[in-house]
Amino acid sequence: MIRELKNRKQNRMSYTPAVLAALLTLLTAQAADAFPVDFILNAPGDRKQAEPEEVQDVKEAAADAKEADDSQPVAAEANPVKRGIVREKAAVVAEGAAEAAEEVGQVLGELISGLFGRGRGNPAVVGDVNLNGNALNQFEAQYGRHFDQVVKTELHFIRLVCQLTREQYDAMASDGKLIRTKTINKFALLQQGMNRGIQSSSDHDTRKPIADGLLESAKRHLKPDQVAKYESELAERNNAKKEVSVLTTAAKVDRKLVLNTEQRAQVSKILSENWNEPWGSTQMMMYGGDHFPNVPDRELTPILTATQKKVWRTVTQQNQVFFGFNIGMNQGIAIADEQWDDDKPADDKVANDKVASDKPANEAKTDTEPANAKPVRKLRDANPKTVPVDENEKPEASE
Amino acid sequence: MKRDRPAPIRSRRLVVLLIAFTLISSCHSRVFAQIGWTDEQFEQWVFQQFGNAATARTKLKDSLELYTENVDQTCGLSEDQKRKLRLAGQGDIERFFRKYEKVKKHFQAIRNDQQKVNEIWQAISPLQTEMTSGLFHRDSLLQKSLVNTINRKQFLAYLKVDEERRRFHHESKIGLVLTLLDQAAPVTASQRKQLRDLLRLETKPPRKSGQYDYYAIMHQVSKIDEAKFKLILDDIQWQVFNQQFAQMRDMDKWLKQMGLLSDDDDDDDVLLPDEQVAAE
Repeated sequence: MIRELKNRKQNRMSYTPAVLAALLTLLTAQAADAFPVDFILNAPGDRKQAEPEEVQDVKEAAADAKEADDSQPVAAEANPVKRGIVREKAAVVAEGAAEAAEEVGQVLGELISGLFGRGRGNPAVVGDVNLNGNALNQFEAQYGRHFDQVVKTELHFIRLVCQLTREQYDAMASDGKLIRTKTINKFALLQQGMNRGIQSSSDHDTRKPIADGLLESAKRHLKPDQVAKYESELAERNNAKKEVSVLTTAAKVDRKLVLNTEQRAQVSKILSENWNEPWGSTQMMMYGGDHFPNVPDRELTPILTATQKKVWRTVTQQNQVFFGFNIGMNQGIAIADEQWDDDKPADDKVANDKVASDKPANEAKTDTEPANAKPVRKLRDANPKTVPVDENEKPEASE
Repeated sequence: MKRDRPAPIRSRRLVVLLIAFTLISSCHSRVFAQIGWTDEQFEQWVFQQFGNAATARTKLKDSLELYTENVDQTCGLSEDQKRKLRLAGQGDIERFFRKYEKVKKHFQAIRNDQQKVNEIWQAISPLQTEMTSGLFHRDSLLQKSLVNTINRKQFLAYLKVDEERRRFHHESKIGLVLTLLDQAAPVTASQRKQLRDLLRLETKPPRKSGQYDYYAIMHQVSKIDEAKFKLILDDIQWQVFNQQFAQMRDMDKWLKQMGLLSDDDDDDDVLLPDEQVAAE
């Protein structure tokens, strides 16, 4: 195009409005942030700037781990617990970093394939990717609190389900910081793509990656029966979510097509059998309005009447309506810190330091009784059958 | 130097400048033309995804046909009964468009006054809600005319089907409320079940069902005695839930404005055709 402009100039041809418009477009494109250039071409300095405190803490822990490996046997013997912790921490860091790189690579691949068109080969694999420091900081400032709350409420849930000891809780909370950082990076990347109109098919539920990460953490810090309880609850949660999504979508179809009772049951069955994860996005359920999932016509149309078929043909069917990621409803909600019986204020000390100092006290506890019992006012919801409801109990004022 | 340039080049530059000025002024005028809103834009505001009044009317007629078909499937209507129902439904559609025309006339009078155009959104909003929720709700002419159109046996059959539909939609909204609360503060499977039972017991379907049902149900949930929640939830979970509820408790005015909450909401009794006649 530029060559053409030059030629025109040389040939002393007059500029046409089309050429001017093209020139304007070119200038505008140059002025705009060109995706994915700033994704890929980050200066190393920016990366350092982008690292939140938690990542630096974790890196320090990794450096400690290296030192621990190289240290004298005497030093290791002097504090075997700490050495074990540091090694474990290093393993978490290494694993977390590898997973994060892989996940970010996948997300970026999707974003890039979204930019250049789908179906042109495999998603790009980018190993050394980081976000622009400013973008990450902005994202952190805007949504950081939300992710804090998701981690906090999920940890509380695990405490409730698995009857965690304080040491276990602290160990998982420590991992939670790394998981939060990893999740924030992932969603900041998604946000960058969204700002440029690129939609990723990844799950936009912010709680899921945090729960998945904490499940991995649970496998490291909890007993198998505790992990099994948490896994089972997560499965129940997913099932409940799917069930509600099917019900909500069927209700939406009913509102559109005025189904009879039998048809409603059939539609629910079809939706359930052909379920697609993005159909269950919360925003789709709440604000989906006239958008419907791409239900297989070969299954749906045979059960519809002629009038219903006519109306259904006018419906917009899309497997994915992109609403952005879901920050849930706890943005701006204040959540109290966990309370323990010993009533020490929660601190951010490395959990396993506590294990060393509290070990004698813990050893005295039984397996079934939490070391710092009464995580909350009532634990009967976790075990409703074993913890009877006291009819005379009056609701307490919130602590 | 400049003076030495040949005249054609200077004139070409002048042309370029003129074109650039035209482009800029066209964008500028497009922005300012927004103040004088057009009828098409007004229709777009009211009918949103339907685009304009004509398409919306077609969709509403389709919807009426679906309702009539559904009642026919349930009650086995005669041709005369179908005709009466269609007429009543047509009355609902005309009633809606009369309201629309009234707001449109007001809009046409003030379309050049940006301040007043902003104010007209208060009148547009209920029209939007009505369009998206559907016209053939419990207070519609169609539903009310059923009583005079079908016999007692048909009406009982219709009530059963209608109740099943209401329960189905209500169940989906309870599920949605629980899913959103679950996202804010996760609950165990056992707690989820207890909460579902509590919500089934303590809430009822809104009188006019639509896309904002979630808010209507959440509003009801927020008014449930907190002691009942505290028996199910622990302190931290209740703390999160309660903050969600607090946001909903004061939404009465908005819900009423949107037609989702009515003073008649407590009036749950449905009179059978002959009882209604007797009552009248």
